[in-house]
Amino acid sequence: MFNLFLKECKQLGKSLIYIVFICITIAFYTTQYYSSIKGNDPQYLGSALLKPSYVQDVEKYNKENNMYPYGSTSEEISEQVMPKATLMMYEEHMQGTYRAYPYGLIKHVKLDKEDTKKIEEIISQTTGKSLSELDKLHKTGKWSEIYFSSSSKDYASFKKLMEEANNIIGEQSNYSKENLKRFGVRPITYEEAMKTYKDLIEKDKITNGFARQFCDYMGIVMGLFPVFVVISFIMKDIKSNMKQVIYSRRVSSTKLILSRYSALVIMMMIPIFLLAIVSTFQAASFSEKLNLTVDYFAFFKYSIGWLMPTLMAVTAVGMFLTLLTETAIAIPVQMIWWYASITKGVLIGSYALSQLMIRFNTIYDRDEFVSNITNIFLNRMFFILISAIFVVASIHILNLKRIGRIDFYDKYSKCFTNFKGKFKNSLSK
Amino acid sequence: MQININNLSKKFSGKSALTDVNLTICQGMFGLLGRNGAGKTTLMRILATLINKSSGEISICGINILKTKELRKLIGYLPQDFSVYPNLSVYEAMDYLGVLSEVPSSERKKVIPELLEKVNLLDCKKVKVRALSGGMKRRLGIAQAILHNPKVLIVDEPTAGLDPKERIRFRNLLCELAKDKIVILSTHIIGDIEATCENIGILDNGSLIFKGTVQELKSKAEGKVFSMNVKPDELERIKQEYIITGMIMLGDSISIRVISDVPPSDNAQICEPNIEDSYMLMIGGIDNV
Repeated sequence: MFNLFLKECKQLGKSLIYIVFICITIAFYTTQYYSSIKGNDPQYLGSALLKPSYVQDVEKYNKENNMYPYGSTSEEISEQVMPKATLMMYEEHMQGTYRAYPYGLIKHVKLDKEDTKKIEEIISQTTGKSLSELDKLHKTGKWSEIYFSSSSKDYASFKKLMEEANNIIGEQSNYSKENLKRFGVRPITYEEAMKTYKDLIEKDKITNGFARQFCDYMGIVMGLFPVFVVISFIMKDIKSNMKQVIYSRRVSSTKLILSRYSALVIMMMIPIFLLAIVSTFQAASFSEKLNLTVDYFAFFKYSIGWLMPTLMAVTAVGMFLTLLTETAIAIPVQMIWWYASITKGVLIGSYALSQLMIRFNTIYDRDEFVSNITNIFLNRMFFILISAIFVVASIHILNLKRIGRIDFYDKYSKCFTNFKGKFKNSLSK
Repeated sequence: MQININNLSKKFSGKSALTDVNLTICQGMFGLLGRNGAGKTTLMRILATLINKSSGEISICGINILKTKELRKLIGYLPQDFSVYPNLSVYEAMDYLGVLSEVPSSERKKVIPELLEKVNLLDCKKVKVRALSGGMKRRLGIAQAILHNPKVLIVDEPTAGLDPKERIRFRNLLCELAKDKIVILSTHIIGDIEATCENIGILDNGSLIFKGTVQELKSKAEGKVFSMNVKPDELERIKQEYIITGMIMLGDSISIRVISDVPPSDNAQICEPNIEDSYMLMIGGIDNV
């Protein structure tokens, strides 16, 4: 089997589509991961590898430099959320369109008269002022004079009103439970900055944090582009008219599928491993300047545990659909799957079983990662299981096709061929 | 070493491709004749375990057709439209197909050059498959089909599209192989069968209408083949009444070869039948071809 595996690898390595895949992977790496991580070179002030220096008066620093010394973070601070959210709602109301972000895409919502009136009532209730009074305050730049009671009781009723507004505007509006906290911003404290620094340097040994972001970006590539390589590789028998020659040979379907599947997965992991080597050297060169130690295997551990299950699942499903239909149906299927996963998930913290690509778009937040590790593990195991199921199904399909004990191929390929013919005819018309 | 086919039928979506075929094929060359769509390829594919039968029994060298795993060791198959990945060299293609036939590495190294020499492709072992001519590709097809030294070689329409020289070379190659194998040659080119096969079968509309030796087939037309000269304006009438198997223009008359139970005219002379005459008689004339 190893011999066949090597031959499949060799054939795949020579194919144009594989070279294109490598180019896309490198381009994505360079534009996304590399460009975001290169700022951590200790020669730059903002490098995550530099120990935060203590600043006594944070607010003074902010006034002088127009930024907080350790950055800022979103937090649901009622004193900030209430005026800012209300102002945004008022402005959106005046413009006549409200923004919502279903599936991660921006949507401009226009409300009918009845719903607009409901929003007006909500604005009046939160501010305690009529719309004409609010117009005056807004025009004269005196919005900040509006008093918002931030007692927990009042904030609770404010949130209820926001929920109501969210229901009127639609899913994932600016006033949804998740988005509301974005209106609150506070400076990161020295203690927090030190903890983040220590977590990255001591616990994550730098590269573990970097590797999470590496996997976050490269997962996007692995969730879509392998399907093109898979289809081209599996369809080569049909394109080259070799189906009958191969099907009539002694090799078992299990051996053939497993060799091809493992060749696809390993070959598509090669660019990832090469980029992991580059990234390790990059991180090591950063750390050398500060005499810090790195985990040399971090990128490889994360690539195998994090990226490989995505690649395995995409490859297995693509292979199954291509074998089954002998068409490129796997491309639209994968595009939908990829799109659903990328728009449904958030940058950090969404590890449901439905998430093909899991994201962790930061080199920090080790605690967040550790707290989610069980979910991440389950998610990855789920996709390995999916891969196994589809590989077994592919073996079964190939077996059926080779022995011809059912007329599966005749029925379904004709159906698809007819569809393709009709499609081509309609195009030519 | 023989193939036994009993009451074989095959239907595709309710349409019969083969009907109640009974046949025994022994060692040597066996030719399967029939016009396009007669069911030759279907029968070949069934024997190559690539499609299932609807009913009937088949055993190849004593092994039931359903035991595909065992049979694939015994069968070498050259399909009608043989092709290999165009980017592979001749040697690489043979090596890859050898791996798929589970021929051990050491044996492949020994056998592949031998086979390439046999099919006269050794000098082209580094040439890409895409650069091979039609004839060379067919010879590569034969080499790959016998790579694992099968007992049964199934060759589907191998000479279609080849020039006469390549065709003769190919036929000779098959005859050589048939010394210790069952070689089944499917074709609609009668000359190929006449030159190579002892035993033949004729398929027509999915039914086996003849099985026997070439001599037996020839004898079917014994006393029924006539030659005569006719005027051009008589030709249409004769075509309607008889099966014409040959025609030569002779100035203002035409010399024709006719199949008929009785002499078609007073000047008709009885001729020695050839396999083509008998074949045409069996399948009912040129209108049915």
